[in-house]
Amino acid sequence: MFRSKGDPILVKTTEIDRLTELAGLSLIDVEKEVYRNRLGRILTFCRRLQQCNPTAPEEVEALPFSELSRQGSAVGDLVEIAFDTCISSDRLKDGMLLVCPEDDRQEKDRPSEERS
Amino acid sequence: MTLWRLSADRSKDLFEKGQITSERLISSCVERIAKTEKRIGSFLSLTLEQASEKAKLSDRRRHDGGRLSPIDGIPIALKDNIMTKGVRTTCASRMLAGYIPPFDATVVERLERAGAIIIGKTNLDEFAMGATTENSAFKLSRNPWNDEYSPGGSSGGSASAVAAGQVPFSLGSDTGGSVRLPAAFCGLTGLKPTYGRISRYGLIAYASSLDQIGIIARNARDCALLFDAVAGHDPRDSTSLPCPMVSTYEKLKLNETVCQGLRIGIPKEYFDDNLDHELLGSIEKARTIFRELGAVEVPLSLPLVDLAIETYYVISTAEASSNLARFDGLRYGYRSTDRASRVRQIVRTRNYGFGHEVKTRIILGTFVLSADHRDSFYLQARKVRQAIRQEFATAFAKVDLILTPPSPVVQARLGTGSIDPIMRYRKDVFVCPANLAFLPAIVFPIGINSLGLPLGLQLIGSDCTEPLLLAIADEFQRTSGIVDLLAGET
Repeated sequence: MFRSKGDPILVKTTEIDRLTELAGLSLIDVEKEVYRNRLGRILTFCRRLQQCNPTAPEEVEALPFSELSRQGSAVGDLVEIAFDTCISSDRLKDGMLLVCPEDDRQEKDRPSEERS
Repeated sequence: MTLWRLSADRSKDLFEKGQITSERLISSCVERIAKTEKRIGSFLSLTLEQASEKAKLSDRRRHDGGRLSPIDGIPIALKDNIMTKGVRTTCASRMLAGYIPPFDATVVERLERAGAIIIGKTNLDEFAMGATTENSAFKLSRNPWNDEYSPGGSSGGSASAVAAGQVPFSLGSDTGGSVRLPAAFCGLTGLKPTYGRISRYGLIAYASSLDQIGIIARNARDCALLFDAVAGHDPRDSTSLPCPMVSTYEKLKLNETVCQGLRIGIPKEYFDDNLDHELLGSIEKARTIFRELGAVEVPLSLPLVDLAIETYYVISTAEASSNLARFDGLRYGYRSTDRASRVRQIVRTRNYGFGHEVKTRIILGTFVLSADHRDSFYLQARKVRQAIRQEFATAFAKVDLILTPPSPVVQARLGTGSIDPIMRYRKDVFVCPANLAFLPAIVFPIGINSLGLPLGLQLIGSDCTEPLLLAIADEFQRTSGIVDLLAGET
């Protein structure tokens, strides 16, 4: 258990800078190093997900929801929103740190790294 | 009679016979809190004056023959991430240090309507992120069985309060085992219901597709009492299940045999060589008891459980990074006084307001949702989650429930947590699959180890089988006599 194949994932400091900005945080250099190491360890561990090949479909169709779906509940939408959200850095800059569905993001909302 | 020692079930019986009053019961619990709280650190806030007033009203109702419910007049504690109107609700975070909610969570409304008496809000890992309660921004909670050990987490305060006799039962929340781990570490019965069975309206969100309010008590009957009071459909939570509710508690009171012919799945992946040998020994004894009660064991394989931790941490952090975006200082709680610019104020608010573990998870969540990595981490985790759910569904075609240890780690000594996050996250490996698969699960004590610390067992059921899980735990507790454990009393 708990072993992944391959070299450890190394996270660049520039990546930490990008993530902290997106997350509405800022870190001093010493902290950046700590979070860089932590993130690298966790991602190396989580890489086992990439190494497996589950045959199940991506959508989570939990049985408890099926009854709700029949009753016209918005649960599916909610789960989708819960799953597919991200923070828009431009909205943060506007002083409104909002959660928005990924699909609704405009090109201009995307951080420059993503656009490139 | 020392009333704080009474289980909720016993208190209820004595109320009915007119042998005790709610006022006396509350006073006894208050005395117990005064004696133990400094050492244990269960509570972040207490509402003793209101509790005393409500106890008087409860006694009057009982005297007039207008008792509201079986839990009328019984004290309860709530994890401090459950909204209580007019009572500070902090999530153990500096971000919400002074936050007073303007509304009650649905579970709080239902408890008030049932006449239960809330006597305080309990400590937790900040925003329920952790497994030892050491991530609280305000205080350290200790395991009443041994001060040097953690009560588990993230609902550590809820568990230590019950184990120390400060309250007979409490509510916690379980996103990846946060009710069941503390219950196991503190020798208690902990129920994580099916996702949607108890309303999440008013529960401060950590990971919305995994969060579920759960119950911590001294025995299965007390769990059933509380479950009957708070479970059921809530139109204000659109993930709430419209399952029909039956009186679980009344069913347990019939002392029926439920284990005869029961098919118990034993998944080999949960019983590897690294499992603590004392825990393994106690589990063997528990399995013998179940077999003697007529249950049949079925060997199982759940290979994807090996990926549960990664799947859980990718999905939960993705959802957390989104849910915690609302804490910007503009709407809730703490706000930085740095007004150089709005962005700077928000960033400084979040920097000061969140602790290290919360920041780590927000950054990880932001990473796995970012365009370059979304497919390889986040979407892959969703696929694995669905595969785990299917794996359980296949297993439940062959068995009625699945028996597992609650954790590969029997207990956690305070201050000795590894700096390696993976080693810390490892505690959740046997409990988080039930959250990923939306399934109900129960943990209850099965023995005490050589250090004098409790050992627990987990049973996982199929959707909406809480009554069955509680009935099995009740039958085990009646048969084994391992029930109503209070720290320092064995």
